[in-house]
Amino acid sequence: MAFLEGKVALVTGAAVGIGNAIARALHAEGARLSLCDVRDEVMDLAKELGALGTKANVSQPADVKRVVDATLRKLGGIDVLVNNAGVWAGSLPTDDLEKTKRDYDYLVGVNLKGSFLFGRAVIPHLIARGGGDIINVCTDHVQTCGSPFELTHDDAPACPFKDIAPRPTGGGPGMDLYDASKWGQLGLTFAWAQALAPHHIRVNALCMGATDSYMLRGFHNHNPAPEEVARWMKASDIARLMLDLMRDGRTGDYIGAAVGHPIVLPARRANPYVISGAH
Amino acid sequence: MSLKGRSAIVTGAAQGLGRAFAAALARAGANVLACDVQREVLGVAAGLKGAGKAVGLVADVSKEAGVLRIVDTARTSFGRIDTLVNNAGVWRRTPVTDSLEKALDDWDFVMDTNLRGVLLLSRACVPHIVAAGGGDIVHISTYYVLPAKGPGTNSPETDLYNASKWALNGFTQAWARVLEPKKVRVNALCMGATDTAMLRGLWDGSPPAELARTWMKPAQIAQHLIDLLEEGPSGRTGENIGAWVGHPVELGPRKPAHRSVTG
Repeated sequence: MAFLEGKVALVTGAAVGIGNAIARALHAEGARLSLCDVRDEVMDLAKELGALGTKANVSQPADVKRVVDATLRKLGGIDVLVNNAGVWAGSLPTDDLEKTKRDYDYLVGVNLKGSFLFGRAVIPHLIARGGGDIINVCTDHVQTCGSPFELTHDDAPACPFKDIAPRPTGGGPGMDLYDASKWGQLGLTFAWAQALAPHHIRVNALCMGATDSYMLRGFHNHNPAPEEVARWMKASDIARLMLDLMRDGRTGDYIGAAVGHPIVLPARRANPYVISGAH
Repeated sequence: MSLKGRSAIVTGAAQGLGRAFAAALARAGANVLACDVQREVLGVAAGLKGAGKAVGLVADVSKEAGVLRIVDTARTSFGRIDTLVNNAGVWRRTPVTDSLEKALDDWDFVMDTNLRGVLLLSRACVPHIVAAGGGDIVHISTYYVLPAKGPGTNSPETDLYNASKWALNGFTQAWARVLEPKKVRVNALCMGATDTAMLRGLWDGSPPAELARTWMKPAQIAQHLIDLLEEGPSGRTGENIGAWVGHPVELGPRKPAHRSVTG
């Protein structure tokens, strides 16, 4: 049954890829939608789903305010925020300062500041509704399975990546600012999960690997080899995983999904970075 | 490997951990450029004791001009840069229910120093560290980014501070890999409660004595840094090195590297 009947969900970066699939999945569960994107196509999707569509850049505070205000005005409140908008561009430690400043504004601006601004703009309204969900769409680059950062599951025998070689982690050439922005999202996720638990607001991160999306196709000049695409996870599977996560009701978790492995919600576990009642 | 004759930059060196890092590096024989936004750093530099040179500089890593002055000063003073200790950091309570206007101000305050400052100064130093034949970049992070050994981790009141430190993981991991062929090591010190001005500030400068007694001392963490640097070019890279209250402060065994498919 449609478990989001009567709920309002705001999805950023909803025009294409994973955001598009998430919007469709939320719609299928009965949610009323507010969709934003820098891309024009968001208006087409909004029309198709009977949703509110807004062209907006999540890194711009005025845009964030405009989207949230319009959502409240047209849809009366917000119950679910999906911080999905994200960008990638190559950056290296040997880059010069001019390029680095641009890369910082673009990558950290959209991926981390965008999540921060939307989260902070929406949180008071989630609190006013008496609860809700924030999902930060992250990356498997933060699923480092023990080394070097000991994040997760994967010191444990249950490490979702322990059988995968080479390991699907970050830190590759061209990834320093992208990865930094995504690690930063985890910092927000863990702080928000603790701060908002008393308000019945759940905050989780979705840390999937290679998924057929606009961004990943961009890595392949939008002309990926069919056998490569066949290997990738589907955006609709990631959207389903997100719904399972919301139904489950946990908070403060970071959910991995890896190519070649079942895309299923892992069992609940103690998060070593969020110790409840610790404050 | 001896640090004698090596040249190090320490940011945020006017007090606390940065001051202890500068003192330990000087004692180990390194040339030290001690930087801070606070003028007191000049006195700190003047008081450094060691075989190498010591220079103080008032500079703000959150400003590009400050970053450029730091690098220029190190080059003209020492002729080379071997070690960068990205210690300058700020902390501020940023409750999630604050207004969006305050949130924006908090973003600039925390991120411009803790993330963008580290990024720009490191970018500016990398060509010089590479030209020197290799060296070290050390980030000063927090135990929040390692599995907790007790309560009090990832405070819900400091989302931006936490995010700025988590984000450093991206730099540590990527730079370690990309710069390994150039013999530049990149690691992060991730310590728990240490008796610094930042931590004392949480109690307006006067924490309960019985609590402050449990904290680690800046000199302990400074020795941790020296141990890490003395590993030399064959030492560890890409690691988050933890130090926790109530546990021995030691480097511990190196963690096995793993390969990446990214990029």
